[in-house]
Amino acid sequence: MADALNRLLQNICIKCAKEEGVRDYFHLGLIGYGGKAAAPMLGHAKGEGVLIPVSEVANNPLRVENRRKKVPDGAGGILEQEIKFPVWVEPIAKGGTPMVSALNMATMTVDSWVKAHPDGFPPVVINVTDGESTDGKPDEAATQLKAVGTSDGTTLLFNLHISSLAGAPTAFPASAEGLADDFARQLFDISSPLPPHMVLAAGQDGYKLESGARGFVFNADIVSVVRFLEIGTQPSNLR
Amino acid sequence: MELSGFSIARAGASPEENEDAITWQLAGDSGCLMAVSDGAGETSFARMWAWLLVDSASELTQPGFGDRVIEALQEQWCREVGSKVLPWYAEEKARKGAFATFLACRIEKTKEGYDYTATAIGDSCLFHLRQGLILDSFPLSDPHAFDYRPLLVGARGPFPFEKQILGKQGFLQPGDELWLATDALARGLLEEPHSLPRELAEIPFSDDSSAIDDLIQRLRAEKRIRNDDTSLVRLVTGA
Repeated sequence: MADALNRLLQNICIKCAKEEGVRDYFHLGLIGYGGKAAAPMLGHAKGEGVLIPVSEVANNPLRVENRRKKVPDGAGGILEQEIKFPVWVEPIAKGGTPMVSALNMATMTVDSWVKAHPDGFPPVVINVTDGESTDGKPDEAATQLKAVGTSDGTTLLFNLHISSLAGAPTAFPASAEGLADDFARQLFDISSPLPPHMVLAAGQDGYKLESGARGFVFNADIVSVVRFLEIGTQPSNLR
Repeated sequence: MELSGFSIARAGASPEENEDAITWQLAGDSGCLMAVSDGAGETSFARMWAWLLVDSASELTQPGFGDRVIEALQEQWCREVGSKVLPWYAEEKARKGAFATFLACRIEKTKEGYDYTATAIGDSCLFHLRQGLILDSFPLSDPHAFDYRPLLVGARGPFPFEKQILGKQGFLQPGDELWLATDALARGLLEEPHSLPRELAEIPFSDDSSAIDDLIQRLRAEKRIRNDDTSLVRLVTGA
């Protein structure tokens, strides 16, 4: 989970990076809820709120590791390349899963943001979980979250379930039919439909989507996680 | 022959952040060369790459030499970027390279009029106009054909230029015009082929012209063109 989140944050920072610095196309927030309560995990050390500009995220990782990555050499072989891997999130021991608390914190966060940016691109909230909520059913909290909006639309809530069990992930379904259990159906029900530009991005990434496809992946492995997160943070106007 | 043009950064960006590049050169009375390139905003040092391409338009449009010219330009781009000290995100971003469209047109005067040869990669478009009306466009003629992932020429990696280019030859009658436009304006011209060319043609083309700047800002505000770097090179042939 930590690695996937670090890779997502890294990819977002790189996406916004230009030669002169990082452009603040986004404000980012990370709410962790692996313990007893939800808590912000970026910027909080400086006394900031949940959301901080992406440039600040880029310039303030906990550390930057040097890792080696295998890449094709273009001649049929493989070579090792040294890359920078920034770390913002450390793995934490699994505790409860207070998802309702986290969704409520997200609602307060996006509500403040839309008041300050009434015409902005609607917030996108991505809920990444490896287990069911332990502090109640998330339906009502999700409904309240998705009701917050700007003049451009309402908050999008996407849900990503990570599993270490073997099995094919279910990605972007248009209906709950065929989902394995109540937990999967619950997450599907609270997931927003993908907007058109994300449907396009998913299609270009190899996904074949039906009309009404939702931002929901169940039983995802690490590769699916990063692909999902990339699609779910695809801006509509960053060319 | 009269050549003119403008290139205006997207709203909210400085002129130095404009990633379009344009050029034109007259060869006495016998012909001219026009070129535009649209750097991909999601890549870094794209402005540098776009300018390298248009500055080499003459060499890139010589039959059989494109691949060697591209390799030399890639080496130059890598050298210039590699000489800079960059933070981790800029270093990783630059590792992915820069990408851009390329559209160039050679025009040669003949007894009857003007022959033109166009070379295109990506969605920057050429328009052939007569008496203010669009007769033809290349390589795209459908405004719905613009998407978020056109084929682009990259500053890194193999790129078989000769195999990837689209070519077109045509003939201009005396008095005809040829316009090269990057995608924001190209799409607008295809969506409003009867009205937008006339609005543009009424105003002198020049980066110093506040009138063209005002028109482009109005078109963006009215959502008739996307808010993106906007460029046009215009050839008016003698009657």
